[in-house]
Amino acid sequence: MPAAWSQRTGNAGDPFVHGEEVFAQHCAECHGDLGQGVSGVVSIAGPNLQAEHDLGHVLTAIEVGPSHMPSFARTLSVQDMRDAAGFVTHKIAVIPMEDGNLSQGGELFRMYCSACHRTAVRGGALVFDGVNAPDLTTKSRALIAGAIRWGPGPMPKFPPAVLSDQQVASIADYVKYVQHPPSPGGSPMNWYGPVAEGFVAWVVVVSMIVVAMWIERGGKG
Amino acid sequence: MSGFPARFVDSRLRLARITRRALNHIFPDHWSFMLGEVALYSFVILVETGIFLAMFYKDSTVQVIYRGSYHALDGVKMSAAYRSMLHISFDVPAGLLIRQMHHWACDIFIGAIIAHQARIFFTGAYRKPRELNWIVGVTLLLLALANGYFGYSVGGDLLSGAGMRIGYAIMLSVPVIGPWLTFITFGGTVPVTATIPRFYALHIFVVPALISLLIGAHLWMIWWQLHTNYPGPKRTDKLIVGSRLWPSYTLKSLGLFFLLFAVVAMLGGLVQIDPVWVYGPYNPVAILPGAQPDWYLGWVEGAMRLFPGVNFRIGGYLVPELFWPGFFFPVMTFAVLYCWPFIEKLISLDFRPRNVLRWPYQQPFTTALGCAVAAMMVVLEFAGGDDVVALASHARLAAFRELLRVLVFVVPVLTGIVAYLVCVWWRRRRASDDAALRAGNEAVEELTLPQ
Repeated sequence: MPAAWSQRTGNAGDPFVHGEEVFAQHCAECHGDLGQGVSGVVSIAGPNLQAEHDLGHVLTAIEVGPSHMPSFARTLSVQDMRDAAGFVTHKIAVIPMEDGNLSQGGELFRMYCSACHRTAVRGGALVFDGVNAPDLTTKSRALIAGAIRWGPGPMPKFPPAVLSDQQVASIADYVKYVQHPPSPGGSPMNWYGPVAEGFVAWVVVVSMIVVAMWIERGGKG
Repeated sequence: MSGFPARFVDSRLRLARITRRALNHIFPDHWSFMLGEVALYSFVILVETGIFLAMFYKDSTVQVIYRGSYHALDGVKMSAAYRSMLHISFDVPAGLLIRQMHHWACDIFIGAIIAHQARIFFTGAYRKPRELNWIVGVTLLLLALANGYFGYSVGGDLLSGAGMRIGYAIMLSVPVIGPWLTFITFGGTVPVTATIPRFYALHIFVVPALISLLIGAHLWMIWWQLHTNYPGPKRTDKLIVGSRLWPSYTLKSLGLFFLLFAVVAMLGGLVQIDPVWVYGPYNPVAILPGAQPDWYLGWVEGAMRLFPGVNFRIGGYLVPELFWPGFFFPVMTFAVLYCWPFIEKLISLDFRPRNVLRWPYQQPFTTALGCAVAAMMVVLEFAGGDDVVALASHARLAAFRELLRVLVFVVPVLTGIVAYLVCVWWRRRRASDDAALRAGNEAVEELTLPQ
């Protein structure tokens, strides 16, 4: 058990002490002792939880078990789950996620993230490792912030010396914004860019050829 | 009512005769003769929308702070050029529609030029006496590509800045003269403030003027030499069959123009193209995957992605890997295109004027070669967008790229062989059909003559 939590939480009747015990026993294997996330062996990889401030969200995750995570509804009592969730949101979650700034987040995203994830945050194919940078459209703010600190898989870590907590919050704001951006000017074609545009252009050129054939037939059939 | 002004003009300028002759000018009736018109009308749309955009675009790289309607970029430092792009997209009434129409018209313009050129190629319309017009046509394609690149480069967004930087790198890779070439073209080491104003001046004055001039020459030559004809009844090298300029041809052609305008306007409103606000302002240290040129330069991009990392020195001068796919390959492609009518003369030894077209199967070698080159271009286009294709199909990019390195040779060879065999088979079938027809005709003559 990490000593850091005991020093913070103090007396034995504190729910955080119990939450810490549950966390250490059931969560730390995949999420790390400090909730910093574990990567490497994919089957036990768990995301960084240091931006999970939403108690209800964490509690649901423990109960339901999203994605690869198992459900703890049968293994743990309701009190265990509540304490563990409280421990996560109050003690593990050290990234405040406050004072984010959308346009600053965009600047930082273009500087640090877009080279793999694209400015449209829809992911990109990379030449190394055969790994594609994932689409971020379904990720929560907490997962985005956690991933920045954690560096899952081949993604680099961005420690506080590189990106401050406020900057992490800004990047999360930007990603959330671009997940469902206003899209003036019609269908964005999943932001695939000039490749999709070129395809559409050729569809039009071929259609114009068909139109020319139709005109030459006197507009019949 | 209209008689008086018409008489007034004609009694002074004597235009009636020449107008009558012009209106009776014959145009052959075949759909494939309209491909060039699609290109011409796309150019008309480009000029119209371009004039509108020029009223709002600023060709300046002065750094400014954005305070506009797109709040995701509020307070961000950017070039004045990029700010004006955002201004056109979000604040100018109908600005985004016109901007998107301009870009779509460009993509369609070059597509139509290539479709038109393919028709000319596969039917042998470039043969004597029309070699000069082929050269004008290839020049028009080259100018269209160049102007597309200039337009793409002046946006000031991340994608356009990356494209400009790649163009710069290609030019710099030319051994010995590279640095001078880039200096006179880009005005220094990109990113440099001189480039956007230069490209903008070329984009809106020089190249469109040249294109207009050459379109005039192109059409004048067609008018003067008359159109070619497809093989058919009464069509010989001395006689043309078709409909008159007025009214039937003019109305057909106008109909095509209105349809094209409608399609471009529809695309401009319904399908996003080049969403500059998503890319953000250009920053030399930033980049994104899925960064492609517009499709008409995708083949060069594809060649650069597939080419292996080979660098060597000739007489102490470095020949970088980028030179071969980025500069040498496109230059050679255009050199062959320019010379093709003359190269083919050496193969076919046909030096007579040809006003009747040939069907593609009648010249199997030329057709096979054209198909092989087209197939190679398609593979290279896929290579240029390989990361987007890999992302969309969940394929492994590195493996896909290795596959493309094989396909870029295998697919053209196979396509060429198949096209050749199909042509030969077709020619043989037509020959036997013709023989049967001739035999039938003779039988009919024998039957009818005694009466």
